Amino acid sequence: MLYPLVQISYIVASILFIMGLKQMGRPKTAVRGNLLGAAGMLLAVVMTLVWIANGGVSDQAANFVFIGIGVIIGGAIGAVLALRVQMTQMPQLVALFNGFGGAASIFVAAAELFSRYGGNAMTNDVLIATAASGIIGAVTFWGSLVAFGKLQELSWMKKPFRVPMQHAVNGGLTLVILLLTVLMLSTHSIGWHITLYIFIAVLASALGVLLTNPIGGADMPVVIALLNSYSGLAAAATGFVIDNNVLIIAGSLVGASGVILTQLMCKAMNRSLFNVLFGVMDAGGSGGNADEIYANVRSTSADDVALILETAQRVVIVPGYGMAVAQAQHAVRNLGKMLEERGTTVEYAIHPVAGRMPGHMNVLLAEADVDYDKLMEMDAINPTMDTCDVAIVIGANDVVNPVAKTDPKSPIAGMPIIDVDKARTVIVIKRSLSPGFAGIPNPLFAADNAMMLYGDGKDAVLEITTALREA
Amino acid sequence: MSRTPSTFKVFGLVVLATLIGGLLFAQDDAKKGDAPAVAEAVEAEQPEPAPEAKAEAEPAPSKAAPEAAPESMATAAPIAATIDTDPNANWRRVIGSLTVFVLAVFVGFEVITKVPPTLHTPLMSGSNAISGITLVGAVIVAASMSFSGFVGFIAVTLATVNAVGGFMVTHRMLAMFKKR
Repeated sequence: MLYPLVQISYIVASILFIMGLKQMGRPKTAVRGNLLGAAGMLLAVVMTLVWIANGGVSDQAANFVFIGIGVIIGGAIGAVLALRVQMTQMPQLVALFNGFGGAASIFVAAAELFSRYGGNAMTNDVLIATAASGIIGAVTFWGSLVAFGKLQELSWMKKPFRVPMQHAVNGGLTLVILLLTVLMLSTHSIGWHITLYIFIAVLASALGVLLTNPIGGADMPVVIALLNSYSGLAAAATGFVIDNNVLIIAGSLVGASGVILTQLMCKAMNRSLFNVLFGVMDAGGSGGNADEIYANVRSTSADDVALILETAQRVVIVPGYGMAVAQAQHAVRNLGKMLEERGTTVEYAIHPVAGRMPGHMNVLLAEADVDYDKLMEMDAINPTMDTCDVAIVIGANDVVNPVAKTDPKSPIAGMPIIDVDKARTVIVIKRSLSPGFAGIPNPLFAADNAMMLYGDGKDAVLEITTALREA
Repeated sequence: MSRTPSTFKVFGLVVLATLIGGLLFAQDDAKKGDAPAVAEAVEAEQPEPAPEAKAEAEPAPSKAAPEAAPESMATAAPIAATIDTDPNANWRRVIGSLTVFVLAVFVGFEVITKVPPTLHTPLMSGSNAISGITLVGAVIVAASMSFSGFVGFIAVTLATVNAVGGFMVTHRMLAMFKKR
């Protein structure tokens, strides 16, 4: 009676996953939620191993060599990556893990297909699931690898390569993949099934690269969230292949949660998912002339900024991707702490799509020991921005660009922004006046109440802190 | 937000019921041959078994089927045919799986409705680790010394990286969020 016991353990694992995800949604219970998820995984895997050992899968003696070596190698790689990674590299790592999950689905479906060789062919429903595993898995894997390359800023991936008639090529590829799937259903030959599956996986790999290749920069949070969703769907499809409920449940849970995050990110940019995936931003289309807009930009020095901060009652810090690049989170925390010791109220305004993955800024500031109560959501802090004495924008650009509200033709029109322009004084720490991802100039930099502090984010903040200490 | 807990419970109960239902179906299949594929293949070839075969088959399953199950995998189709006389067996399996899938998607939507931005990244990497559940499938296919077992080995390695790395890095991240 081992089979029912294994199935019941899968039910328990599923419940653990659901409860885990639920608890991961609240700061107080998040740690426990993650542990519940891990416990569910352990339970499901251990019970599966027990089942295999007792001849549940095949009447031949089970062989644990491959499993043992795989778990040891995989566990070691996973643990080392998880413990060594710097918090600024978190988006890359999440992308990479995502990709591995997708790739695992390709290979599980493939192994199941290969094991049928010389035996009974799959029925049509299983064949469809197998093709789906291959397609979603390959798109996830290669899409994630491309995303990883972009986030890691590999030099040869900095500029997306141009594909002529991109949309036509993608559409054609999708069509061919679907045709091959139909072809797979039309034959009973396992040899053909295997051949077609390999073709499908290869073409889906190309599709994954082509789909992710043109997307970059500020759209990255959407892509990462979407790939996360795909990796879940790939697992669910694999569940259909091997007729296993725990894979179906866990996979679809992840798929659904990924979709919700994706929607949140799209909403935060006022763009549809379709637009992010297939639209190309009109770079500089109606942004106006940079020279004209930047005619009256005032620059300032760290000492002057320190003088302004000295008398400030309420300071709001607005971090962006630039803070991550400069690894300035610890310096920012120290500045904030020093201001607080002087009796100044310090808050952090976090735009939902600041950085390169959902919640990127929150992770960095948490790493630097900033209390999460001080991290304010955009909607919460915007109504109070007019009582803010100094807003410090560090490494952010498009998410504070007032053009989003004033110019309906702008590529970022309608995107909700953090209203730093309402603050009494705005300090913008930035290397230069170069545009952000949207490729348009930012009139905020030339506003009467704004001052530019040019330089590396970390150095600039350190200089301000030093000047403030001496003041 | 206030509606979430009760909705959550209802969905949870429905899923639980479905799971138990699915389990019963699955057991059904298991009794019939422990190798649905065999039964299905037979089914596809001869959708309507000859009446005589049916008549012969009827008394047999009750005592012969449970013990005969493992062997039926290796032996020829006729035995499976006598065991499996339910033309809907495959459909029941597929529909059962689809039901579970659809309901789990809804549970996923309900569970992750309102998450504070602070937890977006940990939630993403944590749910990503859960998608490493493919590991269960991977160990099943990797349990033989064959080419498909080797392909399964690649899957085991990849899925383990995903699961182990995912949960560990999420834990590390969440540890930073703890209030001091």
